[in-house]
Amino acid sequence: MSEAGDTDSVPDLTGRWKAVAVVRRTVLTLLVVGQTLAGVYGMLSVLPYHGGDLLEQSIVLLFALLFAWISVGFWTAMLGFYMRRRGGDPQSLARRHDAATLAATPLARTALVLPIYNEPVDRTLAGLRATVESLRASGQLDHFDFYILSDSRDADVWLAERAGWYALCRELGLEGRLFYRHRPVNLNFKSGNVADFLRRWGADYRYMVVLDADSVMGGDTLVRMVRHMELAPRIGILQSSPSLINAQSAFARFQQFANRIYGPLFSTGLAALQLGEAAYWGHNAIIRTEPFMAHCGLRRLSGFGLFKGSIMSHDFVEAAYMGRAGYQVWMEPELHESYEESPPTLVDELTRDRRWTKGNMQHIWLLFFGRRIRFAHRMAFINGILSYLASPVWFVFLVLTSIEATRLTLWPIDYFPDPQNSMFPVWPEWHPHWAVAMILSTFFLLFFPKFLAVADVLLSGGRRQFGGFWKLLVSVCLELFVSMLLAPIRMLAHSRYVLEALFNVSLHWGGQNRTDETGWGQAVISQAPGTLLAGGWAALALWLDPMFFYWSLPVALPLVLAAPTSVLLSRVAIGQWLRNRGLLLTPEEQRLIPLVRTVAEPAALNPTPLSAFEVAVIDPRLNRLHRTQARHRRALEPETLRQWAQRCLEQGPGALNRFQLNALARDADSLAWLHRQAWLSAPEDYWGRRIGQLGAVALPAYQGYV
Amino acid sequence: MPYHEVEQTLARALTYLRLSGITVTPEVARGALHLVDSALEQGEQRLLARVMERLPAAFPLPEEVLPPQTPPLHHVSVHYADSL
Repeated sequence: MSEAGDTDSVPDLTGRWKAVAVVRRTVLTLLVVGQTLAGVYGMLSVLPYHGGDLLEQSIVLLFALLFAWISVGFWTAMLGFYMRRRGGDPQSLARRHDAATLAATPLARTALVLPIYNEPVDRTLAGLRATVESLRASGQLDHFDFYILSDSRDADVWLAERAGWYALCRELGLEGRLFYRHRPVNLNFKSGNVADFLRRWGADYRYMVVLDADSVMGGDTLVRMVRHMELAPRIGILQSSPSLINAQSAFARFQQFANRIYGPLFSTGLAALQLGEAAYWGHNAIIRTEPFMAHCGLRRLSGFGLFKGSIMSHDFVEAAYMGRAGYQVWMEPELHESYEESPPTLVDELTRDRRWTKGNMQHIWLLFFGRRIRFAHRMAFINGILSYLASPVWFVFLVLTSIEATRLTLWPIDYFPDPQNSMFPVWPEWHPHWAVAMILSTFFLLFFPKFLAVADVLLSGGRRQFGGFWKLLVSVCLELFVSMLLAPIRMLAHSRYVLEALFNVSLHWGGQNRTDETGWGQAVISQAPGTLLAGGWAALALWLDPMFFYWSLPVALPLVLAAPTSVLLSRVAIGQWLRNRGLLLTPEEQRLIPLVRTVAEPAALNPTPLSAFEVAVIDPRLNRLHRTQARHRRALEPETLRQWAQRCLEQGPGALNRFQLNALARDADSLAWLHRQAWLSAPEDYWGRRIGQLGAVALPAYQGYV
Repeated sequence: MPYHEVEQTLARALTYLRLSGITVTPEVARGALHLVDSALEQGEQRLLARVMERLPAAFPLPEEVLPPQTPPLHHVSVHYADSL
């Protein structure tokens, strides 16, 4: 395909960054191990028997794991702060080429691919429109083609997508450059969708940029990414670090603020540690297609239970395979104008986390059985696994400490916890000041990086972008408070998801998967188990020892308050209230750039009260569009389709199930028949009324639709 | 035949033309009236059906050139490693 794909002809700069990476990772390891050993020593001092029995040894082991985990985060943030204060990482990709070199680098054909699955069509296409317009403004639009790759299963969704694609083609003048592919079978999820694109058209492009449904990327950033790839043919994947935008609910605004203020510190630190062995996050990244097709096909897992079948979280694995093939994977935090959105509610976030937990737990198999995968990418697997596994570890830690407290209060003191090895009694000791020191040091590791991020903003002169010093300070305090409220709720949910994943079962206890505000009934039902558990635990703690009760409160209280927390944070009105008071502001909100503005309030592509299926039946132009793209080769018996079409004509699409509607929408003859018959319907019939509604829509807007 | 059926038939024809991308000018409206009138001359039964069947012949509907939904295929394989 491309001469740039020939890596042998390119100077290899790997040696330099690899040496730096080894030094940095070694220092990090020493710091984390040293800090953890100090923590373990402190914990042993705090425990009454100083780790003298199995219970206390288990507590110490879990504590060491958790302490090491937060220690990694702490030192990553420290490194990020150091790099940002010195003006950026000298090893980063952004420092490798000056602006003149980049500007003089010719571009190569690049496909922007947008895999979607039952997404809100208006918002998704508004994001794509914003990205296209930004590329047009950069003057480099001609080097890019665009693919909407739909796996949507509802006829009403994919018909709307296709109508939106057609409208967008006409609006942007992108006929023959903006394409729409709807897979009839969504094999292997998102990675299968992208692989389907690559098999069909991947050879036409040197690069593909993978977007998410809520992604928006600036044209200059995309151009810069292509040029970086052109200048460094050993790079297989270049990942940007997306910022969150367009948050409306209180929950999304807290996530957006946290991402915007703390994100740069952590992503800079992470990038400085990973260098050319970074992870791929699945979107807002550019990929060299030829090696990706040659080396990153995902085999099905051959194990048992969770470890059998398609790989769900494909991105980390693809990065690992790219690394295995000798290509580099970089994450570059200085690639700005890369955006995505936060889930609007806690319920939505946890729904997403449920999928991600399964995907990351699957990586355990690859961690142990993946061959020739680089050590750094195995560490990325561990990082992803621990992101979720830390929750049940924390949960078990709390259970064991509760047993310890119960034992001290209710059971007689055991002066010989290890009778085989000691003839002398062990006196249980309790040092409250050491316990307080342990708690404070843990809080320090958790919260100091956040204040360092604020210091970074202040030192960079960016406080006005966050509403000024005092509003920034109040916002950070609010965010700290909310993150403390959310942490135990997430911990309990993630613990459940890990159990579900590892035992390959589904433990339902409440309806989820919403995108609207969370209702009280739903919140109370879904949070009831955690609330009851925490209430019982706190009551037991109070009965055992008031000190233990106070110790349990930071975890128990948020769980008891989980339902109101979930409901109130989902409220858009509270989000707007905070915004109107200048709290939780982000630079993108302060300076609403066109890229962000266009997705904030996307125009309705279908302004009619009709469903996309109904419009496809009635509207002459859209009916022709859908017929042209539909199958003429029937997968079902003609008589079956005719019966369904007849029912649809008499009772409307509501009388059919999803499979039947999909079959009719995919069949050209059925669409044509329904169109003819609908227009012959009496005004009082179902389709006659629908025609009346469509005809009543203000025509200028509707004509804009097609 | 009730008057409103004729009115509804004319309205249905004009709506179809508008949704097909034809601007309803006085000339187009007169053409639609003439179409309904000539259909009525053949009887009151199936008035709507006759009008709708004759509509495409009476008003050549604009045939928009649809953009290609996908480019020509250029099949290649995605390779899978021998091992995980």
